[in-house]
Amino acid sequence: MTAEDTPTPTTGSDDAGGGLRVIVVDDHPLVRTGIRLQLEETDPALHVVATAGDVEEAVAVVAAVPCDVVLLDVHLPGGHGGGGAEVVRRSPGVRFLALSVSDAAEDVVEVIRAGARGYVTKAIDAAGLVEAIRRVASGDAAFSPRLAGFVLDAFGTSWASGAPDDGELDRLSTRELDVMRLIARGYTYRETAGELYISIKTVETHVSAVLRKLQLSNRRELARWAAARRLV
Amino acid sequence: MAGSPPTTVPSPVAAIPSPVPVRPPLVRPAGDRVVAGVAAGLGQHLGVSPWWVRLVLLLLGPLAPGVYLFFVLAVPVSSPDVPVGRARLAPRIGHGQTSRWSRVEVPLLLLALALVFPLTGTLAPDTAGVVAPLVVVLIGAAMAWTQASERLARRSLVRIGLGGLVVAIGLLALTMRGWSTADVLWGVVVAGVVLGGVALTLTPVVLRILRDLTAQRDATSRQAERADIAAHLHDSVLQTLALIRARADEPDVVARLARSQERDLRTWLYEDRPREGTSVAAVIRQLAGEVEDTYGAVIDVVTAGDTTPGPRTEPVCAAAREALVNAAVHGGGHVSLYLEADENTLQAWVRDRGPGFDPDTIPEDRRGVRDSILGRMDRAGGQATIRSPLPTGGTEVHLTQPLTGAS
Repeated sequence: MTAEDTPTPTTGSDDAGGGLRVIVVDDHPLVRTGIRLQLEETDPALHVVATAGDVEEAVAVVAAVPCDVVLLDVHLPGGHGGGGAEVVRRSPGVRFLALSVSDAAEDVVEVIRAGARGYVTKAIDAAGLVEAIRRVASGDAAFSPRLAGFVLDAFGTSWASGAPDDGELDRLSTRELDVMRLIARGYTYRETAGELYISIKTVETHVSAVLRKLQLSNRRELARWAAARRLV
Repeated sequence: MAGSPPTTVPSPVAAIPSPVPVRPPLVRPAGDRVVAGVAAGLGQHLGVSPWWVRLVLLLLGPLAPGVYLFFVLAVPVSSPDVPVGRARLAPRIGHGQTSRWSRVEVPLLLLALALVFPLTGTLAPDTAGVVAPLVVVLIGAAMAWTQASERLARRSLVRIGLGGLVVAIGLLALTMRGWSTADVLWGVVVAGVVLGGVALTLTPVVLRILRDLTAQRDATSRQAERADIAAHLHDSVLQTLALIRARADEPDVVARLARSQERDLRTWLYEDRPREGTSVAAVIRQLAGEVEDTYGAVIDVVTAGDTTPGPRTEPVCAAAREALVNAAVHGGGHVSLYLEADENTLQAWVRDRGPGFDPDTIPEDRRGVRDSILGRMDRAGGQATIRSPLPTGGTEVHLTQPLTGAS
């Protein structure tokens, strides 16, 4: 367990423009150091308050050290073999942003359905990472183009692609599809808002709704899709 | 997932689909079966519960073994596991093991039973009464003895047991020729009790031994295969790192080498590579990788859905390549590619964040490229749209190609 700083009291953990406490969980020491340096250089208001290197350590650190966002690697050794998804499941009420060098969809689904609020790849630039952290800290979802592509793959790319008796959770609305498609095409939230003539806040709302559906949907295709990915 | 067996391999989506919904192919699943997977396979193919199929088979009465045997011989087994040569290298998160059954020598068993049934009516001492039971005994013995050379597992025990049972039946039929029915039954009961007692005593021990042996042998062989693949992978990474060190003063070359190796390694570690020729997404990724390596760009590829490559998808891939090269050369180096595929349409969007260009005043060298994108898509029956410059900068090329309908 490493507590790097004594966390200074902040004016409110949802203050998206102010100081944020971040915990970094990754099993590669080089990556932990690299992320910390990157964040500190890009946005001095972000403080890395603790780090952890495996599942058990991560669960303990997250429970003991108060923070706003946990940057969590998907592939972690230890625990019961559940990796990052296991950490998320064992730490309810904490905001996780999944970070991984893998952008394979099956890794993403494990962690999102366990409760993570976003997924970014390690190849992301520092500014993008800071933006994603701030998004998750303020209660929204951080979607990378990859995650959007996965959502479209799993839910189908047309509104009519669901079965007639699919519940509300099992399909995306047309607007949500539009937003997902634009994000998959590499548009930022701001650009997406511009394309669709809506506000950024509306984009964030749609994205959060999609995240909720991804987490809660029991859609047969989603489960079978995930199973097929492992088998085929 | 209740009621839907998850082990059928979905057939690859055809580029030109049939007008009716496609059934899953008729295969015998490797898991989730009672005897040889005929009922399970038929159930999946026809869309009914396997128990209905079993009921129908039972109602067929004496014809049932023959019908079952026919299906066992005619219908192949599906194999959902990815061969080790193409499976991802890194361990999966919390993935359980599925037990594997392979072919059961049911045909032999059924053959033996088929021979015994007629014997119940002809216990007179004649040649047929001697030869047939002997054949049955031999078949049973063969069933049991073939297990001696194969990898031991629980199914081996079942086969040995069945083989023993068949031998017992054959021997009983042989020795009790000419006995009265009551004596035959009594003899069978005595034999059964004795054998049952012995088997009951020995079973737990034998099972335990078999299980341990199997587990060890499986683990060892898997490790060996993965070690080979890992060695090759480490070797290629080592070479790349050596190259990078040698050219450390040329940041462009270093970035290119690193990106190329990163892409390669990621594919090996985290993705199951699809079979050749079954995935347009794989073709596009390959293509994007080549453009990355040649022009030093970074291309972010996102795909949703997939379809089989064919004459209609080829122009889209070629046009996408042109668009990617364009974006790499004129677009400042960071490109996003999004591919959307289902059985009716193939769409691609290529976006860069460069200076963009005014579509009305395109410079000479780009005109040819533009025609080759627009013109090519047109000729193929699809459509290409170019938006430039976008409100926030850059260019986006949208390609769309219908995969069904009149060309």
